[in-house]
Amino acid sequence: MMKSLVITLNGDDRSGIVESLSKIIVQHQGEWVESRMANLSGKFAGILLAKLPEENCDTFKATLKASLQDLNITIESADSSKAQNQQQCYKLNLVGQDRPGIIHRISSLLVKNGATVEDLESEVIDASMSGEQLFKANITLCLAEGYTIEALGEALEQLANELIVDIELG
Amino acid sequence: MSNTRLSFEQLQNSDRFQDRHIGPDSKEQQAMLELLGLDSLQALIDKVVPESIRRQDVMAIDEGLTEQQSLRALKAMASRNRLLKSCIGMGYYNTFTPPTIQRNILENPAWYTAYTPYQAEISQGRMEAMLNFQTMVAELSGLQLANASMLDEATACAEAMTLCQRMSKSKGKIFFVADDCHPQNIDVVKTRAETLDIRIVTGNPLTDLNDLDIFGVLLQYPGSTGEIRDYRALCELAHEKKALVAVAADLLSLTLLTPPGEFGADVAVGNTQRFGVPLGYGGPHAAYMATRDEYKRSMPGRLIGLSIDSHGNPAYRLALQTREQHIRREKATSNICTAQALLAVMASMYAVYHGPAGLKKIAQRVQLSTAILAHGLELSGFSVLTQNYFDTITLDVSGEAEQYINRAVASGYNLRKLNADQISIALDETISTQDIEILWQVFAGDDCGLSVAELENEVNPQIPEALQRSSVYLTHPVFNTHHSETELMRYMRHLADKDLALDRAMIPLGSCTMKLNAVAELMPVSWPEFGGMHPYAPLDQAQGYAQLIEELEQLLCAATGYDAVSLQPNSGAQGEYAGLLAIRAYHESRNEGHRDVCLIPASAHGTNPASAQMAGMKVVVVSTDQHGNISLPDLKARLEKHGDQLSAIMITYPSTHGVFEASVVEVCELVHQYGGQVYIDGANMNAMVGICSPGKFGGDVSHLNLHKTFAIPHGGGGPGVGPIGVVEHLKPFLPGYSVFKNGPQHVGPVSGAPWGSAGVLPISWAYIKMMGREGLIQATQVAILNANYLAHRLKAYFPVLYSDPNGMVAHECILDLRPIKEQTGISVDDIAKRLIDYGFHAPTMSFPVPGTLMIEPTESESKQEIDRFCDAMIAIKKEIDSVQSGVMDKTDNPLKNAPHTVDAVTADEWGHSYSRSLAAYPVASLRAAKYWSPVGRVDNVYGDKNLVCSCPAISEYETA
Ligand SMILES: Cc1ncc(COP(=O)(O)O)c(C=O)c1O
Repeated sequence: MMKSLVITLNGDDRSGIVESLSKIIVQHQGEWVESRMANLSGKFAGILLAKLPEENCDTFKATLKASLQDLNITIESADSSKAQNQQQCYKLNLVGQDRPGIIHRISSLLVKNGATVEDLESEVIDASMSGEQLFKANITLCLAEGYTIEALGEALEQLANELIVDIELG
Repeated sequence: MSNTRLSFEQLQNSDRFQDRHIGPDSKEQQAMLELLGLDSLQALIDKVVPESIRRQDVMAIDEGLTEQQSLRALKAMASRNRLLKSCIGMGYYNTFTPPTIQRNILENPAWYTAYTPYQAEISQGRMEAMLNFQTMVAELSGLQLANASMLDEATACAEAMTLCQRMSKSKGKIFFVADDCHPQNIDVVKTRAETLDIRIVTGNPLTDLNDLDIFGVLLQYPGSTGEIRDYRALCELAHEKKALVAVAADLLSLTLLTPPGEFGADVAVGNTQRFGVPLGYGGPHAAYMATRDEYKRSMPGRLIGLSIDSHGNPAYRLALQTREQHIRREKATSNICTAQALLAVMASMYAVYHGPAGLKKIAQRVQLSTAILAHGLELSGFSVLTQNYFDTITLDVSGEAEQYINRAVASGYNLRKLNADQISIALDETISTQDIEILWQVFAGDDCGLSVAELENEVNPQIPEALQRSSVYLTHPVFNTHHSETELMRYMRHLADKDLALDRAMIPLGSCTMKLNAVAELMPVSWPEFGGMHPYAPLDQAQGYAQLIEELEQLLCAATGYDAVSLQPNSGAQGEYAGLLAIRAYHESRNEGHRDVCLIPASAHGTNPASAQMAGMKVVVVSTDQHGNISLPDLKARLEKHGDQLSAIMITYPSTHGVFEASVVEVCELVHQYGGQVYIDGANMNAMVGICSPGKFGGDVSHLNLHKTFAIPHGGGGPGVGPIGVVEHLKPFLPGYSVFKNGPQHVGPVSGAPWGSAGVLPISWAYIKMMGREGLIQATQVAILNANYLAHRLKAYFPVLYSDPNGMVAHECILDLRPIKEQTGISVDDIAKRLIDYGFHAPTMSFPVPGTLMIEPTESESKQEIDRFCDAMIAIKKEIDSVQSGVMDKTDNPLKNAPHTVDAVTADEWGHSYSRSLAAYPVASLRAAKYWSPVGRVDNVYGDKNLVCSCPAISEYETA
């Protein structure tokens, strides 16, 4: 049985939060279902719906709290409302086929290319006509000095055949 | 049975076509009406169709013809076409359609009534044929990856241009088009470039490229007038400028010539018509596009790929769907949706039949005949201007072109006049000794005494060393085993048997109108008088076509309430594009060229925003309210904001939500008040013919999908015809003609052939003429009746998402499956695939609302068939209930494991928690007639991760 967990996180912003989070989810055979993440004046807040095998939930909770000690974390097993906020740098739209771990791969790539996630909205929907599972994400991100959006775009496009990336200047 | 005595006249016409086309007879109709609590079809229409849009005038269409009368009338029309042998070339050639392909593919409902292969499991046969097509194109063009397919060569050139722009690293705005491209290719590219801010420069690519800031180049290979040039250095130069090179190449010539992929080109496009597909006065034919692996995600159109099924066996599917308009909307790589699947299948079978050696012989024959012809003409004192040629030579006839052209016509041949001094002659596989000798006589006089037998040994056709093909092609066994007719017949049967088309069961695809394609409508397509006409044959030879076109235009005007129709667009999406170009040009003509905002409801088909983007418009989305109707407050807000910039609104009517919105008149009026034009997407015209007219209730322009409402079969994803109807003020802005300059003048052509896919127009003509006014009206009524009956039967089991205030739907309905997903984990996909076990093609999935099924039964399905479908859906709901109640396992159940193959059901091991008979025969009638899915559920993710888009090595089948 998969269990749905709503995880909220907040604390001082730093790079790599999304990456650690997604990594831990993947490590526990979980799925990143839907999320809203935002940064407001140096504070990071995120709410995330994840699905995990019931038997992994306890170790997941423990690992998460241990690895992200600098954040306040709550984990509840219920549906919850969504919050959203925006601060603009670049806008990145991703469409691809959904598969386990996709957001983890994307977020680690973002980190590697000097991007911090300011805002991330993602969803999984049934694609028109073919009915395949689509992963869609709208990401607002800022780039650290010395990194270019072209390089990031290319790196993302390289990620896999099934990913299509659009970049807009925010 | 009544004993009333009928007159001889009545008895002769007693077999009304409408009674053959419309599924439910009057007794069935009565029973369905009763269930809905109505007493007549008229009462149904009164309840469903808003008064404000109802047609007041009488539709100007005569009473229906019988099948025999229609065939006779078409035969009379056909006989007005004067069929000469056309040696005009320009991408269109005479060809021998192998009779076995004509009968077993073109004339076989298992192939022509199939739908686009979105449901991979029931489309394995046609996808194999289309994969063969991709393999054939990729190998002949020397590039890694080809799609299946493009609408025509000219639009493929335009798509190649935009691919070059997306993929090149050059910031240049210029696309260079070689001046020896076919004129229609240049024209269509120019039309496309105009709205995209691309500058087209034409000239000689070998000399004129240097100072230009280009992002791409288009070449023709061999050139339009016959010359074969070496473009290696040019490709290098273009690449130095970071530009890409696209080549429109003749596939047959590539059996002998160095292919574009080997001389440095990045994209190859072209027509595959001469691979056994009749000329048909310009179409339908499958064009192709091939490119490098690295550009695959920018490739427009459908791409078949290999994946695996749930048992780990190889299975085909549509690959890289995320490029397409259904998903990417205005960011899609192209608006192409319906393509030319049936014709691609025919062309691929031509290659399967002839094999690489056979194709090469055909090419050699063509080349030799051209060389013999050229030699004889030179001996007679004519100068042949073409130095290196494959099938086309150009002659200098110093000022006497007209005279020779006329002499040729008098002898039964059409040649191409380039100007007063030059004539081109293009030969093909049908050219005989006699043809060559007559052509000699045309030029050198009746008593020139030249004989092929004598001259043959004096010629030695040569392709320059540097341009000779050395690489092998079509080595895959599929191109090397089915060369006897017996083998090919069985291969085609073997593939057809894997698929589910309209010849097996209803295909309840919403928004697709999978109605009957009657044989009496289709037969004339195979007649040589229609099939053998070259698109650029002199107009006086095509009088039959002229009559057909004029009459069909009038019939479509009568059916829609518009004032003029253009039959040129090759698909619905092309029609959208052409319609928006008309709107754009109209605004420009009134000095309002700044109007560039196109309002589109969120629920629109993906081609709408994609077409708007191509027409240079900015898409602004209008939201819908909780009833699925356009939100008037939101519309008003957008109009306030964008009023000055407003170009158009694109709405679909009845809406894609399957409802007649009462507010449509108000929507149209509001948009007009703000100076905008109203585009009504006519994909749902089947709910309106004879009952309301988009041209009268507010539309300025609509496309129709003749492959939906007007009976052209879907062909497994094309051909289609997407004519546009316009009101009077837009008439000057219909697409112009290439080659013939007598068409409208303000907008360029959108297809290579002036009347697009003219070859299939007899189908729609026959449909309308045989149905007649009364039949067409009844078809609309019964389409609406069938949908409401079906919705009524199913609503207790699955919520119907949208209906009008009376609880009624239009001609289709949307079942909301999201609650089921939430409660049980059973998805749309699970239900769709389980329907295959019950012998049905699934309804449209997740369009326009994710998590739903959209069902359109059409008027052609009988109550009995609709009941069979409803019974299947209800049985499936019971299975879902068992999952929910825990009687069936949440993951190991017949829905999650659907479809079940013979292999799985008969395996010695049956590890499932439900019975084999439930898996295979959930309803008893399946024991008598059962369609078996040839593969288990196809894995979408695997396919895109491990992309294979050409015939896999046999070992791949074994190890996968
Ligand atoms: C509502 C709607 N609009 C436009 C189209 C595009 O038509 P075509 O596939 O002929 O390009 C479709 C086709 O499915 C449609 O359903």
